Amino acid sequence: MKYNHISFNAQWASSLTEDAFVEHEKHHGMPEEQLREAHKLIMKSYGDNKKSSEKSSGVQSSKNSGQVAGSDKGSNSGSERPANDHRDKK
Amino acid sequence: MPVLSLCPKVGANTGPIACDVNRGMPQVMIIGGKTFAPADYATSDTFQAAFLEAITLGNSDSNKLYPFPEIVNVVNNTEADTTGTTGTGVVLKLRDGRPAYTFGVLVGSNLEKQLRKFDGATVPVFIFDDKSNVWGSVDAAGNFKGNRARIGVTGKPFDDGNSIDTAYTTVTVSFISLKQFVDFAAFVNTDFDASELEGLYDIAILEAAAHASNVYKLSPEYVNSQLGANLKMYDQYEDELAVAALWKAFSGASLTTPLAITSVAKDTALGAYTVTLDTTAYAALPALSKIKITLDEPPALKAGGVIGIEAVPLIVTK
Repeated sequence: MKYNHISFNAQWASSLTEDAFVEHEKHHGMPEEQLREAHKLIMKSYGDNKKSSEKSSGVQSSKNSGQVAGSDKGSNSGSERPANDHRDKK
Repeated sequence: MPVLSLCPKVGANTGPIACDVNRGMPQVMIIGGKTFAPADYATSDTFQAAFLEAITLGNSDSNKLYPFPEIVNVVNNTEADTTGTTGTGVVLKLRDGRPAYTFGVLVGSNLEKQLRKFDGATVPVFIFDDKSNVWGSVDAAGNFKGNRARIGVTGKPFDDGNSIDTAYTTVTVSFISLKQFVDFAAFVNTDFDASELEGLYDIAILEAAAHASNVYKLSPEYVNSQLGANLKMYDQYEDELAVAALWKAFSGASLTTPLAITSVAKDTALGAYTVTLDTTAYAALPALSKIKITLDEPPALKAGGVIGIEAVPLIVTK
């Protein structure tokens, strides 16, 4: 997910608390409130997409589903954006 | 006495078919292990799509095809058949000569270095000729593949002002099997122009500045033989490469254990990218651990709007 010109790994970010995410990504120099908003949007977006994909595949969602992937596809697959996402206008 | 003949047991029908096709002048040599099943060449369009797709695969894919530059000079080095003459003057062929060619290509120093990596390799070879046919061979299962050949690449010398041969980088091709080259010959007619058959660029991932723990400043660049004149992919794909999903990192003894990249941002001052690795995973690595940082495979890059490149991974030490 891209927020304010920074592309975040949504799958990884969704496994963190908001405070941990802010601490991890503060080096970009983005204001804290924006980082918190980015995390909220990731949680909403990633959670919505996860529910949607699980519903279509018949898989039950679990509370701790936002794990960093260990598959050969790596952990960099989490950049889903909802269709009505108007963030990051240039 | 009845006329007895074993010809049906050793020969074949020899009726001339109208508009039969033979090999034209080679235009492009394409190297690689891609095998096309009958479904892949059911139509010319299907084959062309599969052929072009194979060119855009990553180096880790054994089906990848590597087009060489367009050929501008052809020398036929095919060995003559070995013959012997009997005492009564009958000339008998003792051994078939093997097909071999020297191709001249006009390339710069950068591409020449890439071609030299194939020097001495024995590889499957397809030949695209001036009749737009892609030549190879067909096996017993009907699969279309390249003909095995030994490749030699010799670098271009300085021009001497006298001989045209000093203008080329030379590529020698010696086909291993005459039977494969002649008896199992097959081709697919295409709409290709030689300019469509171009390979990917190797792009090095360089450190634009010293890293700060798990935060790296990285610049994908085409490394130029002209020093100080690399081509930065930031200038070409500034926004397209600023996507976390297109960057990959790995650790472990074989550098195959995924290491999460948490974010990617443009660094406009450096003309590079700030690539952040997962702090927890990074800290858990022993000191002096190797980490491989690269871009995703070419098909994924292409889907993200980054066309024609493949990353050469950067190996860093924690």
